[in-house]
Amino acid sequence: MSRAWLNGWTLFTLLIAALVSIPVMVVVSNVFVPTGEIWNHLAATVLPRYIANSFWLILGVGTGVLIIGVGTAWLVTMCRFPGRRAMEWALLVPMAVPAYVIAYTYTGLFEFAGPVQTALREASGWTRQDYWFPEIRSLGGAITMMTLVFYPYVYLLSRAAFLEQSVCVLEVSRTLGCGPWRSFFTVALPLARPGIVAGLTLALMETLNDFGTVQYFAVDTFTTGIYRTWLGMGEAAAAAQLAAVLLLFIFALVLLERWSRGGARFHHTSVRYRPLPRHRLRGLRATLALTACLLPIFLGFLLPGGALLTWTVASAGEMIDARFARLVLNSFTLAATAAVLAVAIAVLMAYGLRLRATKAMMLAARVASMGYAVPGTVIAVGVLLPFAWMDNAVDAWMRTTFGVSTGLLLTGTIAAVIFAYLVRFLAISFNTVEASLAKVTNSMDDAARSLGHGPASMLARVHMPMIRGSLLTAGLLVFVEVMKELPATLIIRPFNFDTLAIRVYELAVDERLIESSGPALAIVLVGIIPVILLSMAITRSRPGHGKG
Amino acid sequence: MNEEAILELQKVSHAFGPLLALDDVSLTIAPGELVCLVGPSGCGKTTLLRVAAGLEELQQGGIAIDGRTVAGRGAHMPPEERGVGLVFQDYALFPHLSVLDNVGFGLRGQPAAQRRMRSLEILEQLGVAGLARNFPHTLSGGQQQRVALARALAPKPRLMLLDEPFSDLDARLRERVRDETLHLLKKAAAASLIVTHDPDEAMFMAERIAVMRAGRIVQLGRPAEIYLHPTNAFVASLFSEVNRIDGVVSGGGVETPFGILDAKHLADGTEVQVLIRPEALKLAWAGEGEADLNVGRVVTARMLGRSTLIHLHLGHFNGRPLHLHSRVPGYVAFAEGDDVTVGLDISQAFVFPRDDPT
Repeated sequence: MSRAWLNGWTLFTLLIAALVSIPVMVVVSNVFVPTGEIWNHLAATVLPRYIANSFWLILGVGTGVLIIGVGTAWLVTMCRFPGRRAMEWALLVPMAVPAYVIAYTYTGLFEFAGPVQTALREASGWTRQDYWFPEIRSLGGAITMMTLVFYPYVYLLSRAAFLEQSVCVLEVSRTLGCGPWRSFFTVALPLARPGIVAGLTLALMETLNDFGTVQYFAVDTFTTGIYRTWLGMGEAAAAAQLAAVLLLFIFALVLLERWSRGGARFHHTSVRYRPLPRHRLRGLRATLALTACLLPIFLGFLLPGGALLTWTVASAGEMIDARFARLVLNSFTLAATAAVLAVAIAVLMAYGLRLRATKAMMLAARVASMGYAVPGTVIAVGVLLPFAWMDNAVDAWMRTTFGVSTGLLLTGTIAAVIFAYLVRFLAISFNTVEASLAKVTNSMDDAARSLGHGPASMLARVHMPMIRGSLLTAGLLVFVEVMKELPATLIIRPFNFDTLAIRVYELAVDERLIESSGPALAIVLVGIIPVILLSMAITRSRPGHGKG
Repeated sequence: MNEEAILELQKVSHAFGPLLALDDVSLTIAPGELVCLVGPSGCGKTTLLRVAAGLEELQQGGIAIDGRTVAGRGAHMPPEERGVGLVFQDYALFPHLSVLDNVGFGLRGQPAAQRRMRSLEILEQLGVAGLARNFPHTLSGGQQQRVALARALAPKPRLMLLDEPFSDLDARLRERVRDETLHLLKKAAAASLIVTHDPDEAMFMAERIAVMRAGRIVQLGRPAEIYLHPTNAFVASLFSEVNRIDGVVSGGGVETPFGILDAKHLADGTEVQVLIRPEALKLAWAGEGEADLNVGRVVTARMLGRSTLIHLHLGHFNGRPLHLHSRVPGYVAFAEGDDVTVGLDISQAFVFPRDDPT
């Protein structure tokens, strides 16, 4: 007759939320640590540059992903042209390429010694001084790279927003004398705004999170600044303060998204579904539409993917060896461990919330799934600072008590890396698990309880089997994100512990781009998994398709 | 505590925020007894069931199952320990388990062979043993209902709670499944509480009916009692369509076109409504019956199958045209325009204050 189990679930959720919020708390609390000279130095020298570069990145990438993402989403949902079906999912594929990989690949292709400029010189007989060629390693280059791989976020969410719109509203607009273009700008676009802004927010969070691209292109932003201040100058508190400023940018993005979502609930004005009366395009217009869709796919996936494949084949002899196998094993172990833990924690939290949703628990769950907005470098700083403090405290205590030095127990261990991954990616597994749990009707719980099964038994026998497909999806999504993750791994990893992403980064920094292609290609191939999952979900969710 | 009762609710109150779903409800169910909770949607009947099952935590009052207090004074026994069989409106079959595993789900802790035997036995009783290997989504509505019933009965609970168990079935099938369920519950000798919004269903299933309205039990009794002696206008009009004539109490009686009806329980001057069941109006062709009876004209007559419904115009009463419905068993060949005499069986006419809500 006790309610102790309820306290157990609540306690667990609160504990996870507390743990996950540690990095952010640490970073924020370091704002008040006096760093004196260093901070003044940073503020006087590099800070304005970080802010300016971050600002231009956000503006450039934001504009780019909006044009490509919304434009292509509109074409595939509202128009009919040959190849539209294939474009619908193919437009997602560039998502599989991490920004740093496409940056390295484009540099390999378009730098002075790369195949493109070499061919140009050979064909024309020019030398270096005779022609102008855009410098890929620049702010503009970084904007282009990120736009090419981040636009699918906007595409995905605005496409969903366009699909949800009531056809009637658009038809009304047409009958009131607006042409298709005016209908788009006056009705469809404003209605889809929450979806579009949500996609934009995700793309911009990824932009601020990026480390590999800006580092390689020498575009100094907060992520590179944090890295340099931390590892190069050894100034932990100053790095944390830079991280706090970066968090301000993130916070602004979150506010933007919240604000935009304000009235989203009222946007479903018609529950009846009718197939969208797609605008049929013919001849030149159809060709143009198809080209508009193919171009981002070509630039964002086919070109870099093809280059990686060619280089991998060329360098396979020396690159695919025991060392490569160890990289794969390391990456796989990290990703699998993080995925299993993230899903397990997500299940316990979402289920606890289902059993009893108190205000405290809902808040805790929200806090715990906040990490996705926080850049990897910020999390790294927020993880390492408290871990180092704890190591030192334990070491000091052991030395005075037993005369033994324990050294570093947590810092630079696999456990620290995994913890950082959980902080950053718990939101992915939690949201997936929570959404699928919500689809299990409450009478299932009532039936199981009345048949003599307590909460734990019910979880194992009813809920877990019923949502196992989503558990797998959640695990896969986390797995892939961890495979691609670079900055947090780079900062926290144990000495000499290499993963595929780290190896790609190191080889690229050493200007051995051809050799980095093997591990890069492996990351891209794994990255295609969630794209396949997403495109399958899209096919299933298409109204009037399959089971209702 | 009542030692004999299987379920005993004592002064149970339950609120959802500002909404009082249960207001001081007491109810006792004897072993093997079948009680129906009937009332309009939102009257609190499902809440009562969920509180009894332990799915909602009791806020006020006390609950005992089989003589043992399960809720009250801050104690709350979780539903899995109450040993109560539950049947849901949507059946809530586990989609990932076969019919056999669904039925065996509540037989925890028993050896597998024994569990299997008991499951097959109960499925056999319900005539769906052939479906044991099937999965729920392949079953028809009636089959699902039977499996849900089998699953609830398998652990041999002493108390069964059924929440609108037939409302998802179409009319013909519903009658058959209802009949089967009645006999099965009687055979299992489980005390049962059935929630329904359908008064006919309550009359069909119940040994006792509890009529609920706005969180309160407004009348509790055997079906005949409830139908023949409703204690208020709401209960009277719940179980059949009623004719309503307004009047005022004067000298212990109220005047109607059919003479003075007794109203001694109400003070003189009380505004009242007289509710008359359609079958209480006895019809005969004018000229055949006694001369002093009211003569009316048939407006419309409709054969409804088991009975005929006759719409009558009975001149004016209190300055208003009087339109009444009479229901006669079987088929009677009254036609539009026929003149009929109308008599009243006063045992089926009830006088309630006019502000008594229906």
